[in-house]
Amino acid sequence: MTAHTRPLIHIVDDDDSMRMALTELLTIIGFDAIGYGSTGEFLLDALPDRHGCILLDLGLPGSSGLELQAALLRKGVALPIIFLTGHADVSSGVRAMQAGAIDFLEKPVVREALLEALGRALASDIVRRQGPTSS
Amino acid sequence: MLALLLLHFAATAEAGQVLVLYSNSPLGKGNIAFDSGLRQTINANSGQPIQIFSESLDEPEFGGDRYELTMATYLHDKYAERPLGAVLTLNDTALRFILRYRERLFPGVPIVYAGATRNWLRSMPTLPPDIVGVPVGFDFAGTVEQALKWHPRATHLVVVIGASKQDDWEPLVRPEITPILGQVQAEYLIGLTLPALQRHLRELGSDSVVLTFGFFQDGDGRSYLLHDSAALVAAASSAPVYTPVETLMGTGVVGGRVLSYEQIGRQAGEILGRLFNGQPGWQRMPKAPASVLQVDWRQIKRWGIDPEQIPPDAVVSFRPPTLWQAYRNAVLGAVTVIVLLSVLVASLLLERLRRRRAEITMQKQHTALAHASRLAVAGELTAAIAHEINQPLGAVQTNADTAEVILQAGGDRREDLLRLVGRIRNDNLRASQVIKRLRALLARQEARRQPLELNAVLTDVEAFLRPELQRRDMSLALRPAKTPARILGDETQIQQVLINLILNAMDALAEAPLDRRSILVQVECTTGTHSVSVKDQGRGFADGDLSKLFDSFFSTKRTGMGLGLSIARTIVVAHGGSIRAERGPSGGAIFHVELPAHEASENAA
Repeated sequence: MTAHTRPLIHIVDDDDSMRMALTELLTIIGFDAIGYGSTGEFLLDALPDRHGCILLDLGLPGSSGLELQAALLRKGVALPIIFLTGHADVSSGVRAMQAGAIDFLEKPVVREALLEALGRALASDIVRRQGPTSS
Repeated sequence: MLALLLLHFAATAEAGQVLVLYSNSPLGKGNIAFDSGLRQTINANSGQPIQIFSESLDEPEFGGDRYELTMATYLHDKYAERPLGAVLTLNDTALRFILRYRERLFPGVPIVYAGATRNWLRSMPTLPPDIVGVPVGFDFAGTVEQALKWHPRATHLVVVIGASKQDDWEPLVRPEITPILGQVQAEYLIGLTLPALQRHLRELGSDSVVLTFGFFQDGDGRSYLLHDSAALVAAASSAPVYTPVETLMGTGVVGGRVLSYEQIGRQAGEILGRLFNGQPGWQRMPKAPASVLQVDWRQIKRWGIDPEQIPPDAVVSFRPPTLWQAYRNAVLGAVTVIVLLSVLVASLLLERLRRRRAEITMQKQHTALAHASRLAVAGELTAAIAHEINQPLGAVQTNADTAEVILQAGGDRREDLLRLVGRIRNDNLRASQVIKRLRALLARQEARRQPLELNAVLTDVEAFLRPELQRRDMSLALRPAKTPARILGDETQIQQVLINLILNAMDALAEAPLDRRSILVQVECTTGTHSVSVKDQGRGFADGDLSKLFDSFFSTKRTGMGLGLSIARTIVVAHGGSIRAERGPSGGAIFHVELPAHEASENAA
């Protein structure tokens, strides 16, 4: 029960240490966190229908974060997405935000900024869940 | 028949025969010079061949009335059948003899005298008109003058005179030299014994000069050849010895103003020539030849006389021929060769200097260009580099945040904290390694040569480019050689070549479909050469571009500077290798880089 009250954060990052660090931080803060090394891994995993969001690295091997975002939109997965990137370029940022991303954060990201973005993402997820589905 | 022959002979002989009567041995130095001068001119002036007979009175060894009578009889009998066209006498004694016996020996035959001294002639009664010649005088004054010029500190002139009648030069010498002596004291050593003379000469100081004529007899009555006695005087003397007598040159005397017997001979030859030629007025005599300064180079050196003070018209004997005189042609040739070689060497040195400068300039430009090119590469890779650095920094930040949260929550979670700190440290190291790699690439440094292994270099390059490859959704397949591919080179430069080639391949693949976005890099080892080929399946290049690919500022890319391949080639060539491009079998491009194997290491391996 507790598990289900805690939001589930999906972390997609090919950098092992970054992924582990994020997972651990979010867990300690009080979230459930699952890490994926690539977009493929994430897509292959059965996605539980739980309150949460996606922390998505922009530069991923194979198909990029933007492509995953597009794929999820096509599949109807509406989990809010926060982009993380090692190198923010304007065009990618614009594309991500236009496609509905909650935020576009540049690594290294300070905890406050991350938590603030997570808060908005989770709020957005709650709004989404209470929206058309529940009414 | 015999009579006819004799008659004929006599007729021809009469016109062309001359008797030369010497006072002393015809083998003496002066007489030989005289004879040589005579023969030089007599035929040229006579218009017919002249036969020359030589006789000598052999003075001073022989003399006296009885001897002269014997000689007269001998000459009378000897030349009775040889009618002479002229008789030529040399020096006083011969002329005196002829004047005495002429009527009995050679009546009516013209007499020409040479070398008879003015002083002696003055003491004689006037000569008949068919006895002609050029009187001469020894240049005592000129000789002493020259000696005093070369020895300005001399205060003492020693005149050496022998004991015989013929040796009595004093009455001739004294009046001539007295006017020019000035403060210089003249001392006449007359008729000393040889030992006394030698002792005296040995004790002379540097304030003395000696004048000698040689002598025939010393105070003991011993006889000498003039040449020998002069040599004894010169050997004994501690002061420089001078003489006006040409024949004494070489005996150790410094020199003097002498009569040239060769010149006297020439003059006599001219007179006789005109006589035989029947020229009217042949009796008109020329002036006596001027005395000539003769010096012995060895004595000039011995007495420390400045060679600059030798007048240019002086005759210098016994000077070792200079290199120039002895080997004129060889010296000319050698000098020419040396000059040519020097010019060649100089121009080669200049050329080398010029080339070296150009090389240095080029190296600098090359370094600068290579650096610029690497900066360009770095610019191209900015996104990837930033990603590479920010990734570990992001992890560091997050782990630090986690640690902070744990500490704020309180409780004993030391192990978690230690783990986090360990991770922070690792990620931090990762970030600094990226920076280090970048700095190595961008450092502007001189080329170094060090042993490298191509497989390892490629592994580094691949690691460096991996983020960029990921960013562009491309893959790089690395096929290393099975054996170590060792070369000698500059690691940064070789890396740069490979990075340039791979980046080019990546650019070529920019618009390629995903399934073709791979680059194959292969290392192959053959004997002596290792090669790296970079193959892509991109857009390739046009045939016409193939030849221009490696030119500077040639680019098929819109944003390219056109330096990458040019610099790659410069680097490869500088490493003794080669680079070429070809079109791949299924489109795309293949670049081959071949570098010489580093043999030493291979043997060791």
